[in-house]
Amino acid sequence: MARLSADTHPWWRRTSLRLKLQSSIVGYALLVLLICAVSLTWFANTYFHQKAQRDLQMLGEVLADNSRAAVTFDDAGSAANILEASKGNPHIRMAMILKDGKVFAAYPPGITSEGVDRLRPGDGVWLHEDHYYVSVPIVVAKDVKGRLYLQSDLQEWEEVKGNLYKVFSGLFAGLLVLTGIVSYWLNMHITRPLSALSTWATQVSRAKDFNARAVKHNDDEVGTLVDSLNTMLAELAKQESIRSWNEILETEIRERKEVERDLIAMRNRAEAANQAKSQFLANMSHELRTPLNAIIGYSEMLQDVMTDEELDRVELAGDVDKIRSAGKHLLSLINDILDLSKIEAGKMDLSIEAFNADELIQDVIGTIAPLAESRGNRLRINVEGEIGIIYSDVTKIRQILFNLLSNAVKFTHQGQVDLTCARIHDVHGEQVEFSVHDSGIGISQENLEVLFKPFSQADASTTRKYGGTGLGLAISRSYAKMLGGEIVVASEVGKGSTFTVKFPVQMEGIGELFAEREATGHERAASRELDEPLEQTQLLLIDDDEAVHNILQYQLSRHGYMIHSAMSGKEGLKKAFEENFDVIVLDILMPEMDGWQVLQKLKSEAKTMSIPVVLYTIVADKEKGYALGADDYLVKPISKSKLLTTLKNYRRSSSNKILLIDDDRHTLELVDAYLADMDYQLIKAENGREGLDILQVEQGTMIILLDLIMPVMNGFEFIDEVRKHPEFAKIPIIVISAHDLSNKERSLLLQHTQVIIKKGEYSRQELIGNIETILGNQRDARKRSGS
Amino acid sequence: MALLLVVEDNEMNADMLIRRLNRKGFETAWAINGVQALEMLEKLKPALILMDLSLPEMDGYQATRIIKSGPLRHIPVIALTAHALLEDQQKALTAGCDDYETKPINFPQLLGKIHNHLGEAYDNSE
Repeated sequence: MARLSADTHPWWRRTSLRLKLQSSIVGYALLVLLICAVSLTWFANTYFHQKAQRDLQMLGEVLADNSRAAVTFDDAGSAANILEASKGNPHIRMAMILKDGKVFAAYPPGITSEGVDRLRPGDGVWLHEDHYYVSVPIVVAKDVKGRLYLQSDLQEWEEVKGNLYKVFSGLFAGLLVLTGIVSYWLNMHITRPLSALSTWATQVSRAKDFNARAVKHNDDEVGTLVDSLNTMLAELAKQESIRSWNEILETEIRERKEVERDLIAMRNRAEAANQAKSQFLANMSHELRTPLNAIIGYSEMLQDVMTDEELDRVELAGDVDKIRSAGKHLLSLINDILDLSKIEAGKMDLSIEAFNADELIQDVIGTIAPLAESRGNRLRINVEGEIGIIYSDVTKIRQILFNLLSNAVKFTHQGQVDLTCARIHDVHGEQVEFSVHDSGIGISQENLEVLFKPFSQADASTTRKYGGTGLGLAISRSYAKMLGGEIVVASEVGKGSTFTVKFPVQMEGIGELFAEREATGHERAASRELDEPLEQTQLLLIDDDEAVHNILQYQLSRHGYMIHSAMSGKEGLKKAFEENFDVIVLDILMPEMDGWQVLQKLKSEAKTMSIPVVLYTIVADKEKGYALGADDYLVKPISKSKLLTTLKNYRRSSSNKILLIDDDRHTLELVDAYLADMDYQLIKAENGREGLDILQVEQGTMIILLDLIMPVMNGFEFIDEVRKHPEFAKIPIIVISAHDLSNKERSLLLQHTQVIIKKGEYSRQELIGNIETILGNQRDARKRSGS
Repeated sequence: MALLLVVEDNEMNADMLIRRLNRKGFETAWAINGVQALEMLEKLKPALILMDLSLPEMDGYQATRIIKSGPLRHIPVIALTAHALLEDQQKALTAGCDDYETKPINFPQLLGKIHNHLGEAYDNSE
């Protein structure tokens, strides 16, 4: 850029700094000198001429005055003497007195009046041919008797002028020398360092050696420039090092990512191992239960036998009782382990509902009272006011309370156990607090610390003496945490303990959770449109009650039924003959022609004989109904699910194919069982690749149920693949996975799938509800696009 | 009194259960797997079935599904299983079992359930 524009710049920009400096200094000095010389000369000139004129005039007047007598008396000799006096002034070249136009006297003697004619007749001083002239009248008694003339040369001025020139020349020479010195100095201290700096900078930029540093000689502007250049270089060097660090970091990040991948793989393996562990525990539970069933069963039976038949074997019965109690203890141990492993695996579900806390307290007390009594303990309940309705998990709270109370009762003998309940308001909001106080053995400080850890009963002998698994408090505390609360304990050995559990009256985020679930399910599904129409089951409803028509329309239309209404038996028959129906739902009690008549007529005509008829009535005469040929008999009122289940048998067989992709045999079995009595054809695939292959073959697949972690092709990869096929991309996907999703994964999945269901945490209703919702929405969408 | 069909592959458990039921006055029949259970069902037409779910040859789920889709679907089936998870319980109910009892059996509770279902069955037949 700079190079390019160099040639286009005017010459003064291109000249070197040194030349510019030198020429400007010399120019400036010359200018000053010139102004001085001119003005001084002019001033001296003016002064000299004025003085010369004045002197000449004065001399003239003196001489004229002196020669007045001589002129009066015509004494030319004395006049000449007077004029001779002017020889004292070397510059007076001529003095002359004219009388009556003739030369009366002259100096130097002998000069004639020639040329004097040309002299001016008047008074005053004038300049003529490098000479000053003066003419003064000689006045006697007011008469001009004669005229005196003086001539003076300018020799004196010439001398002054010569001297002035000498002085100025000297000054000029001195100035030149001085300028030379100054410019040399400037060169040494400014120009040369600058050009050296510039050369150095060029070299640095060529060599890209940002660690080089310029040497600073002075503390002036150039020094400052050196400093800034060095700072700049340091900055560049820093950036250079940052760049190299960046490269190092990038390499490191790459390595880290690889490590991360390995770690993720390891984590997945660990998760699989964890799942295997949970499975193992479940299996263990099963395996232990089978023999326990026999142990406990036999023991109970033997006890019965021994006492019933009054065999004197009471002692034996006592031993058998030990078997039984050991078995029972083993069982509670297994239950607790199972609960704990569920909690650890994060698979312990909360079932949040509204319940009456006061009823819960009564319920728990009812269970614990006999136990307290058997230990000789007095149980006292102190409820402050009314606790009222709580939104939480009632089962978990009951278990916590039962655990705390049974502990209190167990570790207290012939003492006092108090349950205090209150609704309180603290920084965490509206809370409910249960406090269990006993006057029992108490807990030592060191035992308090490990109290809530699994398998950490205060003392190993405690288990034998007091029973219990040592897991109750660990489970209770986990539950309390899950419910957003906590358990604290205060105790003193020998005096008793107080356990206080506190949790919110309304579990946080419950409302939003439900709302969110609704919203995602519905909006997602609603946003889809379906090209192929679904086969709808044509249903003829014959009933005189309009309300029944409205209800069935509402209940069934979302589930693939097209309701055709007939408000009387006659109208129903007419329609049945004219159109084709898959099923007829028939009321019995109708005016004019009742349901029995309609049924008989339908079953006797060839055209309508084979149409299934479901009686839907308040008349409970099933025998008659079946005898007359009804296929099913529903007595009003009836639940929607029962209605759907019954009608399902008569549905037009649809192409409701459901593709289940999961490598887990249990899930396959479970979903199979869940959908067994539904009108769906379940197709199974063990991984994503297999699923894709099936999609190619099985046209009209309605829904995909997808696991995420599978061999060959996992769920995420499957979704990616499916997106590439426009004909499959519209098939709704329900994710069923035990995989704990990150928020990122979740949002990614929700972009392409309808619902995410956590494995092992869904019910049959939930699964079917989701499927029906999605299919229902598709029907709605189809309807909208059709109308 | 009523005849109960016990379907159980573990001999000890079957023996124990049958003897206890007999002591309570029930008549019993024993089938060792699902196939045998279906055969005996036809012949004996019991008042109630106690069905273990993990069985050889034909398991309890399948046997129950077949029973519940056949003409004898009104006979109550109580599942007995050592699978203690809620999931297992749902699975049994989905297969068509009318009730569910986890092993080890709480005998009085089981008796209560049996009486409940028999009572219902009698009510229906009346």
